[in-house]
Amino acid sequence: MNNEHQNNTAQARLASGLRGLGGMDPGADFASCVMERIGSAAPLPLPKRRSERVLDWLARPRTVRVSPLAGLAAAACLLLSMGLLLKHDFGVGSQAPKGLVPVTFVLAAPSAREVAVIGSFNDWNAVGWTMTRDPSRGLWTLSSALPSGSHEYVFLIDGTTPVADVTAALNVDDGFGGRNSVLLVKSDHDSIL
Amino acid sequence: MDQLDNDRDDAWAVEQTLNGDREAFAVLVRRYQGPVYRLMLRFSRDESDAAEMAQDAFVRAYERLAAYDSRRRFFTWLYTLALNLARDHARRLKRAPQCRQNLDTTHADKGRDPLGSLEAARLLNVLRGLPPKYGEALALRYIEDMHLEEVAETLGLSVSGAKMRVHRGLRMMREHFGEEG
Repeated sequence: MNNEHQNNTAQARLASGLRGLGGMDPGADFASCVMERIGSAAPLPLPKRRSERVLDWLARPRTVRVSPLAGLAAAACLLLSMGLLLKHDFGVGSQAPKGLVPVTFVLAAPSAREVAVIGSFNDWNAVGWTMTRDPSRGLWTLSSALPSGSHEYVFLIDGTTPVADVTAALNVDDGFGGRNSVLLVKSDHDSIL
Repeated sequence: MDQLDNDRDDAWAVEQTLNGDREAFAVLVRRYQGPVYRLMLRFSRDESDAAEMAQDAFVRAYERLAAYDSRRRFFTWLYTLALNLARDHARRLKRAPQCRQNLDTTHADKGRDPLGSLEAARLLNVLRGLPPKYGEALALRYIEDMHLEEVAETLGLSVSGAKMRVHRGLRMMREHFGEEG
């Protein structure tokens, strides 16, 4: 009991000491320094419609923070049950450029009208990264070749809705409340999944 | 101002900024410069480093403001952004050759003690040495004087998870001071 009392006292003192650190402040001219730096930057874009803001958000670079896999849109939920994984093959039979590893993206989204892959490898720009639909299986596929390393990506459904890849072994917080999927590409032509 | 008023005020300032009124962003800077600076102090070597990093955090927040989801509390978003910056900086620091500073001596030598006391400087040093998941829980709870619910929301934890982190963090600090005698 005595020990517990001592511990509580010690912790209370620590808590009090920590509270004392709350007085530290960068000073009265901090805000003006920030505003000066902002003042020399380009003006912010005007507020956009939500769909345009989503696209804008998608185009920005991400910071990565690993967090547990969160819930995903229903359009992407079938792949696990269908036993399909992100796989590596040469797609339509053409050789991958030297130094790049062939990859194939697959998404089950039968009700989508258009799907693209956007990620760190294409600057989050869907142009030229539209997936091909296989109506018989309700699947969308895209084959490409990427350098070895870690790549973040999402599927962009109908030009507006980002969806993470439910089959990805790793999904990360994009810092804005969404999730990016991560593809780890090994240079010996195998991916880590 | 209670929390709800604060949230509304933040949302107003964000909206005004996005509508072209840059000065509205200054409201947010002044409101949160303290917590962001104190966060950077925990991940940097000195106050000028921390002040510069804090500026970087606000500039980045301004640049990314269009991506802020107003359904989230502004400080939670800002803190997450600032924490990512801080950790990137700390990782770069680890790789760069450093002159190891004894914070206590440095402040004493310069004839100033901005942390108010050498004990405060020691506390900050110990806090810096904790794993961030405990250090940040402690900092938000006691330095920023947040309720456990707010700590949980900011760190993306359950309330019991936040409580556990705070308790473990305190215990780790206590053990550290106990070792020093």
